[in-house]
Amino acid sequence: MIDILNLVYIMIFSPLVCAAILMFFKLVPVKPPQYGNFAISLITSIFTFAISLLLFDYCITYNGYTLENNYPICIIQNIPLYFGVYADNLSSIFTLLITFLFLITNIFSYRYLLQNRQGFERFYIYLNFTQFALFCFFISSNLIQSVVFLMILSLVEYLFANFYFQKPISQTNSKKVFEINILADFILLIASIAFLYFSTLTPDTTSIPTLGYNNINSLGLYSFASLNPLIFALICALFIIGAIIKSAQFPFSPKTYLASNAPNPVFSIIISPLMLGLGVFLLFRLYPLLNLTPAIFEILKIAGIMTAIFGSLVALKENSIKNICSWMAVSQTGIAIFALGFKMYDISLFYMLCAGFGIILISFTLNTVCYSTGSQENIKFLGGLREKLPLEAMAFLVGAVSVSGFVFSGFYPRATILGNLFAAKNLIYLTLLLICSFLTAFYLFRLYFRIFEGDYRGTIEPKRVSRAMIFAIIVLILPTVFFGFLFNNYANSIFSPLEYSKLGVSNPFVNVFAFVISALGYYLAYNIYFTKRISSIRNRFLRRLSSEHFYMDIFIDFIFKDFILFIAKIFAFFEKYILGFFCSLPNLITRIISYLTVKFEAKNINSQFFVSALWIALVLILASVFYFKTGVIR
Amino acid sequence: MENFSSTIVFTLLPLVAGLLIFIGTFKNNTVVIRRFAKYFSAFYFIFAAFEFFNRNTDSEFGNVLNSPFYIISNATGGTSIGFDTLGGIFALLVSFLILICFVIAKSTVNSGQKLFYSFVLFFESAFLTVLSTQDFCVFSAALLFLALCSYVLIFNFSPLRAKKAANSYLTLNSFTVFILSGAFALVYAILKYNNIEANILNFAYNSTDLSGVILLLLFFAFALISAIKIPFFGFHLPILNIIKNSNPAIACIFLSDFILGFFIFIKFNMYILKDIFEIFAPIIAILSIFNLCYFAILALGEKDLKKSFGYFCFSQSSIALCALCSISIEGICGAVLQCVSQSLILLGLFLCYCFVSQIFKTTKLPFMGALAPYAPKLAAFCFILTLAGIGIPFTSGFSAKFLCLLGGFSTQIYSQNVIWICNLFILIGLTLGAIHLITTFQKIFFGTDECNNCKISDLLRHRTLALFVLSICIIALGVAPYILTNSITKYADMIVSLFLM
Repeated sequence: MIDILNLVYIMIFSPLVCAAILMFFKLVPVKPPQYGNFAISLITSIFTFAISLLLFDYCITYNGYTLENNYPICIIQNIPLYFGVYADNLSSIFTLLITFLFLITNIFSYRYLLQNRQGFERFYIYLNFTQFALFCFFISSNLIQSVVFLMILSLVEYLFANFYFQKPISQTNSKKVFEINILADFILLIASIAFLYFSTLTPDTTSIPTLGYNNINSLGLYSFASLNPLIFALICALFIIGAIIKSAQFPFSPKTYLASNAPNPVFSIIISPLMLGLGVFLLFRLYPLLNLTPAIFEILKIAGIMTAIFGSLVALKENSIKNICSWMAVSQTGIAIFALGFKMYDISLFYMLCAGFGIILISFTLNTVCYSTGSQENIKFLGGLREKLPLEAMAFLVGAVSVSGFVFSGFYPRATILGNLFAAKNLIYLTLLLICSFLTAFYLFRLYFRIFEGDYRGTIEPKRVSRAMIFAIIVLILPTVFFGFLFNNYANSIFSPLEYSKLGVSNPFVNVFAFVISALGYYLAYNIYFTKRISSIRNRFLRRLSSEHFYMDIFIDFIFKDFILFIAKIFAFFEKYILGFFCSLPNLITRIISYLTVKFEAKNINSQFFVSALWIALVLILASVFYFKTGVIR
Repeated sequence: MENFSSTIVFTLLPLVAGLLIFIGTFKNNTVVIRRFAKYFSAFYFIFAAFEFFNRNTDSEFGNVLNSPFYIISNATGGTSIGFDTLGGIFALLVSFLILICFVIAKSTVNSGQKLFYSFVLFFESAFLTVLSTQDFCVFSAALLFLALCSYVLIFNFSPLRAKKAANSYLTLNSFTVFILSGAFALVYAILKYNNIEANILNFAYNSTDLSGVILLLLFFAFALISAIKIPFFGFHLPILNIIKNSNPAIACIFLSDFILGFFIFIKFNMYILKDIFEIFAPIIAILSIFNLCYFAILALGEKDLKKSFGYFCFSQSSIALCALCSISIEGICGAVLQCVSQSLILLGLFLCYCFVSQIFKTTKLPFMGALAPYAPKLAAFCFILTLAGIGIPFTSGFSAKFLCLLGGFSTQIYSQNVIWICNLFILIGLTLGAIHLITTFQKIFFGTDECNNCKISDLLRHRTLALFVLSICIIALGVAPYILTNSITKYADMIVSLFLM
């Protein structure tokens, strides 16, 4: 009988096999029918979903037991590198989320791809490969494996961002996405290698696997005890900076919207907690290590709250559906990171998942809107779609109220975060978070009113959405509504193995206050965009900042392009004129000497003239020596 | 076969093959000459690989030192030859690079095939002699012959602009060889004076007894050769001009020179002159980090495709140098792996860039673009090589950089603060290199369509084969780097143990 471990390995590798099969069919002249690619991919997703359900069930049933297995792949200089599985509750939840989301994406994307029939096989190959890489990252048993697959995921994100490579905007943006990702990857790689080396310095060198998550606590303690505290803090800071960049936090938030040229269903994956949460997940895994240097958490707090507020403000100004979705996702991830900065480990995870379902639902709903209106993404040319797409409007509302924290899944974690902040009397951060709630409610309902209410402002008649798409949306509504409730009630059984589990208690007073603040956001959006009783608020300073994305784009362009090109110009000047001159100097001297020698040999030089020149040179040299020695001649 | 006899065979075989072509055995029949050279190289490479892996455990440098002394000529104080592990790896690598270049030469060398194939084989023979000989005279002579062969090849098989560069490169190389010969003469005289047979082995044994000034002189002579070959900041202009105007088929020349630079650096500067190296290692490390960032930035700003590739080459070599200066087992293994990986990746990228230049009839990047739909195979191979150059996992670039960085941390001779500062600069260099590669790839294969007047064709069959083989090697080294690192560990251990003493 196949045990659960074998099933997990089968689950990990089946998308890779699927991608290989699709690749084979792409390369050989015999092509399967178009739905063949879809069918193979769908069967794989259903299969992996079933196994991930089994795994989740296994982890919950044998509560506290971690499924673990390591397979050595190579030994480099006495350092064995492993490919392994480390399936605890955390990874089983994420695995379930991966398989669920990819199943939905598979169902959703067939009809979407038939729209323009471009890159059909390529899409499914990339999709399955992404799923494989995500499995390998989220069930990874050691840090090296995680970093390796983070780099692979960067590549995948680049491939998707450049999926429509004929578009110039797609080419430029995908390059930027890749640059940001590779910077994060190299930072994480250096931090991991430093940690690998310093942890192997300790007496416990035989820990298996290398930098394994099962042993991260003791490895952290050993390193902490044996290392200079500053070096240890530097390693932790590098991990955090890498994770922040990877999760598109301030000032690298544009990374997400730059990837918006990816096909719409995949863009939903890019802004989901799976891709945006890669850095956060790594921080969850390294939590025991980071916990040893509490001061480092300040970076998370500041980066998180800045991203949350700036992201919301930018989303207010944006008119493109995809851009609003990406800034919303970045902003929500910022709140999760902010919660992690307060060491609210479990709430951060809880928030990321709850908000994540809302974000995915909103994103897929807006994908159907785009599909229906012929790829119209600008909300200025949409409106009144509630009559044409009632189910989508309802789904969007469910997602919006959830993400805004009114009711459903989004309510529970937000209430807990606010309650904990209130209990800790941390009023500044509490206020900032409430501002963020207000802004979130405002821009989500602005989006709702601009798309689904009022009159239709587009030119193309909206078409019906396929059943498969509607089915995908209905399926997504369920977790958005119930996940928070279930998670909140069964948190103990899910979190019991973790030492840091402490959801905390929400405060009724704060909850009511937060509700009122969010309702105010809704009310304002209602009056501005629906009844139009209030004209839109025009703050030139904020508008300017929001439209410039708080100068984050300029910052990214500066560090990755302008600054380097400026330095390159200086170096090129040095290279061409100064170094070039010195390199040609021996050649020049040799030529002059040889010229003079030839002239002497041929007796073509007036010797009297030459002797005079020598005398003049001698006098000049003596005069200059005299000047430098005494300073008499002026 | 004994190490001695097999080495003789290996070093002389290409010379014999080259002579066969040169003296006109094949009656100027270009097809026969090409096929002979290609099949000879393939056979030679397979045979050498088999021999190397079969005998790897016996061919450590230490064993060469302890092997029986074969006297060839009493006049030069006797000689001994044999490949140590490092020499063996580099010999294999060079024969592989030359094989790839022979495959490519079918469509890139259109005239003077007799001269081309014979001189490349002479070059190979001279290279292997330098790697294997333990005799001062033979070493210097082979080095000079190597410089001459590269001069002839660059002069005859490159455009007019490269001829000036070939002149200055030959001048520089000969100058350093003469300096080295002088230094060798000094060592020779000292050894003879003390009744010790004068050769590199005895020089290695007795290096600690020599005076500091002589060691310093020798160190600078070797460092100068390495600085020109690898190359270092200030010595890069001639080789840059060669790369800029080079024919794809003679890419093996400048790549072999990189490898030779590393070999001389490891064997002479690090191993034999260890006392001096220990003093200068931090300075060399800092200079290499400067090299890494300086050349990566220049590569990013450069608009000429081949010139920016040249800068990128120099930048990549600095990573290996940096790892060597860490004087740790991981660092040395990483450096050798980086050297091998870099040679393969750079050869592949250079071939791709040359093919691209042929298609667009220019080397200026602003006049290139949107080639991907017209040449999908070329785009695919170039993408794989770009990823390997960046250091994406499962390619040799990743394994090499991983080990180099690990070596940097595991050094015993620097303080932790210095290591961190160095590694942060290396991080900047790596990121800049990655940005350069992806930018170049995007500019060539995507971007605005510049294919109006170009000669559009995808890869020919033999070019596809060459790039495919290179890609396979790169992926194999990325998935299983221990193929190489296992063989070099003992050697690295031997070097590191000298410093720990």
